[in-house]
Amino acid sequence: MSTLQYEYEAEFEGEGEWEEEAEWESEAESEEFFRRLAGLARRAASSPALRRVGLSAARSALSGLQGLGSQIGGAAGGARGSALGGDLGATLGRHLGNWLPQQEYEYEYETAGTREVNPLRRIHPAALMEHLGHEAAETESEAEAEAFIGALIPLAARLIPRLAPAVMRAAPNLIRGVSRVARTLRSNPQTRPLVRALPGVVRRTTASLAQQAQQGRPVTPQTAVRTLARQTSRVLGSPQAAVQAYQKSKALDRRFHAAGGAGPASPQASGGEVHFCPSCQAAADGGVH
Amino acid sequence: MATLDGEMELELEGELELEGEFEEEMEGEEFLGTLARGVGGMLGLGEGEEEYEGEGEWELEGEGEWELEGEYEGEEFFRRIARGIRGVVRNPIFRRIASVAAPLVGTAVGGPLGGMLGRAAASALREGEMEYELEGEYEAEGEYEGEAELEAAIAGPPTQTQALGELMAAVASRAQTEAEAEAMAGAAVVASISPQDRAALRGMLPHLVRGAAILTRILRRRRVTRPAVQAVPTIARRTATVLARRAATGRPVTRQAAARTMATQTRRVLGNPRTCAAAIQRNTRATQAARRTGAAVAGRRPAVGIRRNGRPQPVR
Repeated sequence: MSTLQYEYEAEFEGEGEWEEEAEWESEAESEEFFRRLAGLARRAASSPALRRVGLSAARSALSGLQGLGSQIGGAAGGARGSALGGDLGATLGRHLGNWLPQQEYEYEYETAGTREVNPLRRIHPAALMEHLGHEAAETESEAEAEAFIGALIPLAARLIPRLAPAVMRAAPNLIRGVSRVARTLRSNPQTRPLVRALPGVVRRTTASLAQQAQQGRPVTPQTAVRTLARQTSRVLGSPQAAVQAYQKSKALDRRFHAAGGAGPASPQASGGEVHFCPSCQAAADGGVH
Repeated sequence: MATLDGEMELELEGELELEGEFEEEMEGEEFLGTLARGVGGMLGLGEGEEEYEGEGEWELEGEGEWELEGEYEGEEFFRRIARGIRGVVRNPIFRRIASVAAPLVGTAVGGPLGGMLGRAAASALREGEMEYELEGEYEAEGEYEGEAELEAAIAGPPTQTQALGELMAAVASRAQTEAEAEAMAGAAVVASISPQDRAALRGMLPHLVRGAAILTRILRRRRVTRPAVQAVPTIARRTATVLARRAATGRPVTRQAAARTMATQTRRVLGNPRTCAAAIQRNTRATQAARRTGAAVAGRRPAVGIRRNGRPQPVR
């Protein structure tokens, strides 16, 4: 085996060999996590810890504005412009972060204006998004998780076709933002199950941007990231919204598999053994037949 | 702006002079590092970039994350780009990377069985198969029988969404972190596949995204191969086109079929200097067009070169 071959295979071929067992354990932990949240939701109780998680995740989305600032500054004024733009972007991000709800009574639950797109009208892209979110939450590979999360944005853009060009123009910033949120959540085993709620967050973001566009407000990369941060804190910081997002995620993931969607990320075993998706028990090899 | 254009012209001239030297000396990343930096400059990586291997933060002087310095217009610029790109992709490391990447992509898409199929695809490359002479090769009954036919199927100006997908791949090639690159690559794959193919291959999309993520990480490991990340949308589009045609002929599209196809397309694009250069060149053009469209929407300049709703966008 050449040195180059050994270098890459040593890094990548180990992935997946123990994923199956880890995914089963992770799925059980996710179920337990949301079962506890559902208990809080039934009692209409709030969770300060969850609210802090939501705010932290939202701030991580806004931290992507530093990159946007560097980009704008660099295009305008070279190295100094890039540094100045980055500082301004980070300052803007911190300033916007202060607009996020800080106290319990400031918290808003879902309102009519920010309700996500009805998945029954967009069932296929929405179901695919939920499956990607499921995969991103369960996979042990950071590379896969990032790619699955990034793929949510162009799929969400297709949910509202008239808004698709505006969303796609803001796509690099939205991808950066939601990717940071996912990384923040995945970095802690206790918050990792919340990654499953991210497709819902992205859909709510798209719906909110559509409403803004309808009201004549321009959809810029900055407003898109701000909207993403706001929806992140609303969904992830509230037991009711988080549980609702999780339940919707399971239902749509089930629809995805029922329509012949892909199986789990775990590798196929040899000898014809079939694996099932831990979420909906659909058979693994759900290819197009 | 005129000063920036002048500086880029000088840099391009210097790199074009190196092309002849490169053809005589085919080994050694040290030499290729110089050329790669030059081509990287053409593609917008900027000056003062530090050399490094593997993950880590690195600084770009005066460079936005996916903006090229100055405004570059005209076919002459793209011809110079094409010459530079061809010089880089003739590096034998691309064929070696293709032989390594194909089975890994196959494993990512299809599991261990997919990896075996990917190794079979790569073995054809290791046996000295001359990729640019494979005009008559065929995959299987019902699939494209040659490179020319497949290229013709995916030819044509990109839609706006596909152009933005190419832009995301360009961002991925220059991203400061692996995480950002992989997120952009995942989005690029979904955006690059046509809506019809996306609808037909809905079940396979997660696997294709997974394959693209692994491929992006492999290509970003070395600076000399990092520009090839810009070819990932082409690999995804070719894979989707072949699989969609397979589905249209009534043949099942399984994970194994997807794995074999993506591994094969990875080998074909990365292992063939002409095809790889064309893919990177297509990405450069589409990225430029996407940037112009964004600027036009913001009211700065007219948009050209992108199809909207299947129709060519007129010059305004």
